[in-house]
Amino acid sequence: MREPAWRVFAAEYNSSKYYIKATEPKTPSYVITPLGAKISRLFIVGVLTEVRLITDEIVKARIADQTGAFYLLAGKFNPDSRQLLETVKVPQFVAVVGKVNVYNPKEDLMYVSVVPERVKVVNEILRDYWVFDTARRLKIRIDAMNEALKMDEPTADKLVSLGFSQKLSEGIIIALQKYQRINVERYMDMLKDALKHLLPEYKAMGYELPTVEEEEVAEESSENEDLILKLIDELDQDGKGASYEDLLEKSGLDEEKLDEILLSLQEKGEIYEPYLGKFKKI
Amino acid sequence: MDDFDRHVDDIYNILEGKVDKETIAKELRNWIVNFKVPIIEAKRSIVSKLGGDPSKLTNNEKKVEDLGPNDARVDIKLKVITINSKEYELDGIKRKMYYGIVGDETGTIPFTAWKLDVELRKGDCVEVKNAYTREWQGKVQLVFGNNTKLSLLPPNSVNVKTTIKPAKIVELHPKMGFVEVMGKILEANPKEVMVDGVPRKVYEGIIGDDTGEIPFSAWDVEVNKGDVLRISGAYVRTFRGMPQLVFDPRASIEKRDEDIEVHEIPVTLESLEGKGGFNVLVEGVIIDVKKGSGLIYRCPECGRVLTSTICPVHGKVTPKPDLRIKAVLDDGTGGMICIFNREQTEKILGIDVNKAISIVQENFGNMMVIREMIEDKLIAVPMRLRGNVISKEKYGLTMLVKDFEFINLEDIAKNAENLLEELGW
Repeated sequence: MREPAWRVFAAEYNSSKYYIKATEPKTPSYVITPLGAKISRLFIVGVLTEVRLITDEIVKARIADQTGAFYLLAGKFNPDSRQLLETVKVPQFVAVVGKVNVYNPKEDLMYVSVVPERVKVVNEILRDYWVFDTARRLKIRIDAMNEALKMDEPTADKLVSLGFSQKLSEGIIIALQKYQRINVERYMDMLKDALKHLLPEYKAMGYELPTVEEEEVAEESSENEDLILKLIDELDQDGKGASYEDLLEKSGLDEEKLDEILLSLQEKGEIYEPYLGKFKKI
Repeated sequence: MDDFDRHVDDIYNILEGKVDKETIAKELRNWIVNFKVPIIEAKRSIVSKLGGDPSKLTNNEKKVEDLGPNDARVDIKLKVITINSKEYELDGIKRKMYYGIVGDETGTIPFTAWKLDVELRKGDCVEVKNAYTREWQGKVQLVFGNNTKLSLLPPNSVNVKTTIKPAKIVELHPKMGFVEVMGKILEANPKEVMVDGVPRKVYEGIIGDDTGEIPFSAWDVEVNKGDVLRISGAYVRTFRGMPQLVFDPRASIEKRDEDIEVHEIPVTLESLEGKGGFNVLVEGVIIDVKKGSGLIYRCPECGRVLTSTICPVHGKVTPKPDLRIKAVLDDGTGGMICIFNREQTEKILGIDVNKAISIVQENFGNMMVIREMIEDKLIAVPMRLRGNVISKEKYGLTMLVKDFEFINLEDIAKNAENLLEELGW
């Protein structure tokens, strides 16, 4: 059977820490989100906020929704998507059908991205529909997870008997086994936030996506940029680049700050990311 | 017969009458009463001592209610309640497997047979040796494998205790056994059919409830359009790749004096996997437009899609232009290929075949132009489709689209507000 294209928000997808790798060729690999979405393929509609050429063959892009951003990696096997990403002006509403991709530098550390099968420029209405569609699916996962957390011995069968689908029920059980604490409240807030942005009164408040904010904070962090540049140089022992986790540890910065600086340095063309989670000076 | 006599009989049968029952009884009593040896051990020892094969003592005969998820050896007497066959390919060879429901006086259970020694038909009673069980989608299932032996028993030698499961029409599945449904007859056509040389009357039609519709066939039962029926003891079989509800006078059929709403909610694609569906409504987003969509040319004789003016069957022909779309609809739970015919494609594109031909000519014969127009119209666009869905192992789900509509996107804010209210924001 065809793998479904899951609708999940970026924050849920990016919180994924568990991956089931395909054991045979032509079988799918899966990312398991904390709410039990067992994803091999995704359908995303969001705002393309950034496109960067990493090498001649690889394009990296960010697609933002109200909760965060998906990282897209288009390589030589995705020529159509790559071409579209390279030519389109940001910001732009785009729809993406893609496969999951993970970078797993060490145990307990995983970065997820999306390899596009198809990218299409769309309009705001289709984005809004996606947000609503994704929100109502998130609600089903929240409900299923809440039910499972109530059970003494949760099983997929019990969830199915409550009316949840087989695929989701199996995913929920895997998530329960793999994630220590699942903060369902966080996703409930995310769900409500996403829906509120669809209401006319919120739209009128000029809600738009966070491309502008990123530029504002760039200035104050310039002194940290020198530090990070120096660290990247020092930590790049094997020529493959300095790893994100090392940078985090050695710089003493928090994740948010570090992300900001790395992004700013990449925009300035000082560094690039040859592999997901690895940074090198240009 | 009490247990002691039964054990004596067991030993007597294995020894094939070589030793009389009285001797066996005396021997057995001695072992059990005087030596306090457990009965199983005693029987083994006696058979062995008297020159028989003790391995024949092992009795695997079970009843349906005894079956657990991983029984390695099951001997059982059953009645076939439903049986369906399915073709599949293994190592390039076409094979046939069978599945359905069997039962005995303790209950019913789904079965799968990879091969059958004897041809089984609905209603047959059969003795099964060396079957096994496994768990499939959380339910115990009986499997007839390569080492399973089947032999037919006299008709009606096995009685079946039926468990009847109430179900909504959307849930109906050939592996369910007997079901109780309440629905409205939306269509009913009487037909005379010859079964084993006997003419029988069957009504075929469609029954629906608030979750969906399903075709039915009612044997020797008169049903009329508009009837609201509660049918207890019907079963589901696969007919032409789709589920069908079947019932006859053995089911209890009650005509209700109320009207019910046949309101349709879209079904999920996941729920159609492995079974297909009749006249189902689905809702999702088009995520791919396949090769072979757009302007195509067909053999005027057989309708084959041609890439030149030569038909492999009819030779040199003048190909007829046609428009069609093969797209993938995805609803987040599964994906399905949906095929739009010429008329529907013309409606989606807003152009007819002749216009499509002239557009291709303007683009120096590039047929891709039309497919790109379709992609532009459909990709990432939410649609609601209705049609028959066929499920095939290899290709997954395919729908021949009967009706389609683009989902109204103006209500999103209203829908978001409703959902927020439900969440108590």
